[in-house]
Amino acid sequence: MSGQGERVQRTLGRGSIVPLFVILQALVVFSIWSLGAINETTDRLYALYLSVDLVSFAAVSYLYRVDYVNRGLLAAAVVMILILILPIMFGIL
Amino acid sequence: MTETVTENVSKARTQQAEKRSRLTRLVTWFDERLGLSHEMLRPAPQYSINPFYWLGALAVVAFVIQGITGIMLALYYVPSPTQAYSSTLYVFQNVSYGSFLQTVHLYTAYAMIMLTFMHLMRGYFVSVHKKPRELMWLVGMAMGFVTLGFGFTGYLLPWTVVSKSATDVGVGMINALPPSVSSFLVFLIVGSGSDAAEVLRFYDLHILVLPAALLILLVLKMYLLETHGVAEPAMTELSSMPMEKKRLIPIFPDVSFYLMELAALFGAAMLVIAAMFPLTLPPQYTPMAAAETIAQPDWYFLWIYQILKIQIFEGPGLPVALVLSSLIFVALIVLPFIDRSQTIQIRRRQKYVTIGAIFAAEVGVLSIWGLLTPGMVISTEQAVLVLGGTALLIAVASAVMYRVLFRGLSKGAPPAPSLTSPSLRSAMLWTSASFVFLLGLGALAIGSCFDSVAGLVSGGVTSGGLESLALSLFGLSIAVVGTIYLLYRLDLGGGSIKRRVKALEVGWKN
Repeated sequence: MSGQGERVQRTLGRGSIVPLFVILQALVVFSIWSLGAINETTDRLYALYLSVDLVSFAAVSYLYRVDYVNRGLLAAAVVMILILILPIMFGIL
Repeated sequence: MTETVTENVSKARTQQAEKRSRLTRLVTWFDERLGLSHEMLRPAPQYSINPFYWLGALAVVAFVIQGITGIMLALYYVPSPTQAYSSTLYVFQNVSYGSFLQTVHLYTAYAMIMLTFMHLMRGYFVSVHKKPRELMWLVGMAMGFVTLGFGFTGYLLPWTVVSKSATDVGVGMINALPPSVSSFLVFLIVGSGSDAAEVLRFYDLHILVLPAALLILLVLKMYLLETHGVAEPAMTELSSMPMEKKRLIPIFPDVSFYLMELAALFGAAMLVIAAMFPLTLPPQYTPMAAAETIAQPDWYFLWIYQILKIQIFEGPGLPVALVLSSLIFVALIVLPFIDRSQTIQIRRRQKYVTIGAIFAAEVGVLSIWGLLTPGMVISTEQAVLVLGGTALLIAVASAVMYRVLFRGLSKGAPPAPSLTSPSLRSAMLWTSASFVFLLGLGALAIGSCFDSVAGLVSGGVTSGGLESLALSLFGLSIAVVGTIYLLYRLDLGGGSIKRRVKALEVGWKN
């Protein structure tokens, strides 16, 4: 288990990416709670928030799991999150 | 002096321990209590860190999402012919995120069926049915049938005109079977035969019997997976694989975290699709509305339905069609006892790989064809041409691919290089994807060509018919040109086509 601990330390020491993803998750969960009225738009908002949450979770899990981070995959996750967030930011729903 | 050094070391260790992240401590806390890192489960090889190895696991994730959303929907649903539709409509209109729940429930069901089919086909191609995994195959087949049962029973529950009409067609087909079989099946599915008994029976099957059956089969499958482990790769010889790929990794955290990532991405994809294409509830079932509706099963049964729509199987030929359709499933069930050789490498199983590819292509062609021709009877000649054309196309493509990709293996040549280089793997992936796309396009174009010609012959020459024919021929030409180009590109390494062209053409300059 000590090896496990070292591994976590090593992964978390790669920078501040993991905390950023975790903060993002916290923000989208808070946003989900802020949704109220029942209509198609809130349905979509809910789906997008939850998707961002899941992709962030997958990214954190990936960062924890691997010894060597594939930057392409990480960039893909960030792009996916941006694609999901942009419609919310610009109100294209 | 020695004591001071020891104290300093001790202090440093304490400080280091305090600095350990909370995540580490959390993982350690669970690990000390659950023993997760002590290889409670059989470790998996590194090469299994690949989505294709976990298609079944993703189907299980879909099943879990189905369970969660299904429980929420069951809080409002009333299984009676008079209230089934209104209670579903109530969820759509009045329940918070009810429409979204319905959409996610339906789309995840579709994903579960698609993933199960992909899991089946992958298992077939990579020979997971072979010794000692025959029982795993049989359990997997049973799980596949239960999954289709979920689709069949769940489709009726909203009591829409589309779902009830399609279910009536399905139940009607059962009546064409021998009386001893049909009476038992009809009793099992629709009970006394009244609408009330039918919807209640379907509901019970959908929320009690089938989930229980799937859970039991899932436990059995997990036990067998734990016993036999992950199957060996079928694209590369295990002996030629680098040690790094063969290294065993623990289920926790490596494999379990990987599965969580896949599950999270799958869930995100399902949510986005549900958000982009929200479900709308079709009209309620009434006998009058049903008379004006073309009965058509959901997409995963369309390929069987399309076979039954072939002219030769109309009326008295229906039992023959049902027996033929059933034979496909029987063949899949007994596959481990037919294909008994111990060879698992794809490049050495041309016959079975070709048969599997033809089956998958025919299922795809029949499904799309069924979608395009709702309620239309298919002439026998047209069916023979389209299905035969597809089979021929796949068989020729398979023969060519085996000749180009695995050339010389049968003559005792050394095995192909292992696919370890990322660029080579990527090239293989793109080549395979291009071939699948081109073959799909070709099969569709052939079917469409036959359809257009049949339309022109039977209905006379019209501008619409000619446009359709031109479009089909254009698609076919793209498929043919694309395939030739791809084969030429593939052959550049060997250079045999290039040499032949060089020998024939004057003025070829390399």
